[in-house]
Formats: sequence, structure tokens, C-alpha cells
Amino acid sequence: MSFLILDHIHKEFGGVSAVDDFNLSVEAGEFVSFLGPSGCGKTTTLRMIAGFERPSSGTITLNGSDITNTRPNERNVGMVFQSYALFPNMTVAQNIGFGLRLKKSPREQVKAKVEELLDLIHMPDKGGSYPHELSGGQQQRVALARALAISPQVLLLDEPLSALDAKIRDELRIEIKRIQRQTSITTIYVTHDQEEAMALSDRVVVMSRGFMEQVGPPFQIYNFPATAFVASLLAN
Amino acid sequence: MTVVAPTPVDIGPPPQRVEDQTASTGSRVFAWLILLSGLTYFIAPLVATGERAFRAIGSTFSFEAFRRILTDPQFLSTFSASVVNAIATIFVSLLVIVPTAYWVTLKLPRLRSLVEFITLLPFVIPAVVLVFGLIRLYSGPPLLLLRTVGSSRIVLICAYAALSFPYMYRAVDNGLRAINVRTLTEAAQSLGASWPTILWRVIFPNLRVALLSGALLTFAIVVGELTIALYLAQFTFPVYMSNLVRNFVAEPAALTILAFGMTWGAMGIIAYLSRIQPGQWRRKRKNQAVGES
Repeated sequence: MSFLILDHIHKEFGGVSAVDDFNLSVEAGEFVSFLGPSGCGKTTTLRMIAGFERPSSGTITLNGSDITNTRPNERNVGMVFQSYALFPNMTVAQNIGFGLRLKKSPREQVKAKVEELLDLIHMPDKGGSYPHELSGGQQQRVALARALAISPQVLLLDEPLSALDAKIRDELRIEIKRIQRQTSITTIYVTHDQEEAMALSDRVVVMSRGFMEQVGPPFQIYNFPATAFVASLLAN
Repeated sequence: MTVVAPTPVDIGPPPQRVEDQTASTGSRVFAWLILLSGLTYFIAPLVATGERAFRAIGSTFSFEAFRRILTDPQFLSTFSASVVNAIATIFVSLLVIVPTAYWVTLKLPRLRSLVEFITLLPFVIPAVVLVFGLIRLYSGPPLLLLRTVGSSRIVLICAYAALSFPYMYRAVDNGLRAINVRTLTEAAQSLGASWPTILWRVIFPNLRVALLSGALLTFAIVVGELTIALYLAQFTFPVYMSNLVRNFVAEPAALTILAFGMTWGAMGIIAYLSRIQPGQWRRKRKNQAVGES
């Protein structure tokens, strides 16, 4: 049985369909990207996995449990946002340790985990800095470490590189892939950048107007586009 | 034929026209005049009050009026009563406004204008109308809240909280607009935080300056409000001030100067704290340590 299963997911906003009959099975440790233009439903699908939106119909199963109606704070799903969303009143170390402190982990354990994650994101000396003292790329690394700190079952990334300039984007893309390989965490990555999706993913889900156009490994998507839309998206 | 390029000549800045210079001098004089008349308008009454406050004994300059005020037991008791009322009002107001404004921003943005209108009602309803409404409602059964001074004080604090809503709501709403409430909330949720934890550990600390400015405005309202306190038979600081005005000359002036000083002090605190960013003190200490070593 797959680790994450989205079964006949449908989502409407005020009678308008945002996601329609979405079916996907993700294996443990797999890196899957949702690729498509704005308004195609990729972020809505991700938000349904995170629990910020409830599907109008269909079920979401994670590691054998039905989480369709589970609250977001009870899902143990890590999320990285486009706008970083670091807590401005906390230092880098406090941001990373926030989820662990909520779980009442022992102080020493939190400290050790924070140090381990600071090493993982190559920022060992930045624990005492505040978010406003960091560059965009550094903030996004911290956001990634914070999401990983709670040892989530799934890591969700919502266009994490979109707010960064080209050079930092390329560097961080390599970092994300390295960290995902190192931690073997099941990852869902939302992007409108086909290069990002192709470079990072084990499988790519191409979406358009709420529908899945094609699912497959980057090689298959690139060489054998299933629809005219996929072909035109990749041609661009 | 050889073509020689013309040599650039430094001709300096273009000459300013005489009319421009005259106009700019004229507007500068006009600006100074406006500034001076504004300063006179605000400072003259203060100077006159100060003059009265410092001349309690004939025409001799002295702090006698301040001494009398500060040693009057009624001053301390009424001022401390008003401070306690203000703190309780701030607490009630924060308890009502912060979750409301947060929830409206996050879940019900369409209701923002309605909530804004409701919070503005204390501007529309005069204090005397409000207090008579409260007296009619709470002086008879089933809610006999005006029977004792203590229970009347609870009514007074709730009325003050309502009076503070326009200021508190605006301050909190502005603070919420300055931070990305939705994303911060979702980030905290994904890390396992419940609603109370999000409010207490993420939203409240990031509204620090907004809450402080709302709280200080509320403090100023409570410490200066006379009508409701008078009709609810509460002996507060403004009631004491109004009694003093009827019987003395220099002491009320001294009290006014004291109140003015406290208000400006409070405004200064807001202005200073609003410029401080998280970690600034730590950096200052670090820089000092580096400087010392």
C-alpha cells in the first residue's frame, strides 16, 4: 500500500471547481512535483494534504490512516511556504525548535536537533540571528529546517524558490534535493517552473484547470507528453 | 578636411530665475509663520498653565502646588484607583479585540467593515447617554450590578472597555495588516500549534507595538474620563481633578502639567519601542562588548 493516497479528491469554491477527480499514490521517500500554471489547482491540492482546506469529496490517506478531516496541527506534516513564514519574534534556533517545544521534547533534545539541522542547512553559526537579519535564501533554508525538525511524515513545499533570485534559486534547488536524499523524506513540491520540477522530482504531476494531465517520471513527461497541453507547457 | 570636436566648456548650473528665488523665499517665510502660529496655539495655554502652577505662593516661583498635590492622600488613592481601572480595562479590551480582529482577518474578511462600524459606536453614542443606559439596565432586576461600589466598578471597567474599542481595534487591525497573519498561522499549525498557542506565542508577540499603542491610548482615556465615573459614583482621578478645579487655582494647573508630562512620556515610549526590532538589544550589548574588549 502506498504511503500517501489521494483518492477521487474534488474541491469546489463557491460552486467553482478548483480540483477535480484527483487520484495519486505516493510511495515513501518519493519526491513528487505538482507542475502547472497559476490557477491549475496545484496549491489547493497541497493545502488539502496539509489540512488547510477540506476536500469537497474524496479521501486522503497517510501511512494507512484517513486524515481527510484531521486538523492541520494533528497531521505531522511539514510545510514550507513561498514567503518563508518564519516567526519574526523568534531567533533562527527558536524557529527551528518551535515544533519540538510544542511536543514537550526535553530541552537538551531540542538543542541537539536544532544544532543538527543548522549543520544540515550549512548555517551552524546563525542560531542566534533573527529572520530580518537573514537573506531570502537563508530564511528559506531555516524554514526548511523548521519543517524538518518535527520529523514530519510528509514534507510539503509550496513554490519555495519563487521569491528568490536566479542564482540563489539554483543553489537552493540543489540543497533541497541533497537534504531530501539525506533524510529520505516523502516530499510534495509545488511549482510552475518546469525546470525545477524536472530537476528535482522522481515523478511529476502536470495539472491544468483542476485536472491531472499526466503523471510520470520527468523523462517520460518530457519525451512522451500525453496531451497537447503538456507538450505546449514543456515547449515553453 | 579635419573635423575638430568642440571642446566642452563648464558653464556651471543654470542660473535661477529671480521670480523663482522670490517665490521660494516667500513660501519659506509662510511655512515658518504657520509653524510659529501652530506652536503658539499649542504652547501658549501650556505656558499659562505652567505659570499658574509654579506661582502657588503669591508671585514667587515654587513647586508648592506640586508638593501639595503629591502629598495629598486623595491624589494617590484616586490616581491608583484609575490606574487599576485602566489596567483592568486594557485587559478586557485586549481579550475581546485581539481574538476578534484576528479571526476577522483570518476567516471573515468580508465582515471587516461591519466590525469596524461596531467598534466605532462609542464615538456616536455620547458618554452621558451610555451611562444612563447602563444605569437603567443594571439598577433593576435581574442584574443588580449597581448595588455596591465594587460591582459598579465592574460596570465602569466594561464601559471603559467599550470606549476603548475604536482605538484598540484600529491599533490591532493595523498591526495584523503589517504581518502575514494567514501564513504565520498556517506555519504554526503545521508545526502542531493549537489556536490558543498560535495567539499567545505567534500573534501576540508580533503585535507588540500595536498592542502597546492601543493599551496606552486606552490608559489615557480611562485616566481622563469623568462623565461615566461621576454618574456611577466612582471616586476616580478625573473626579478628584474636577473637585480640585472648583476649590483651588494652582493645584489643578499643577495636575494638568503632571498629566501632560505623563501623556508625552507615554507617547515617547510608543515611538521608541516601535523602532526597536527583535534582537536589537542583543546586538547593542554585543557591539558594546566588542568595543570594551
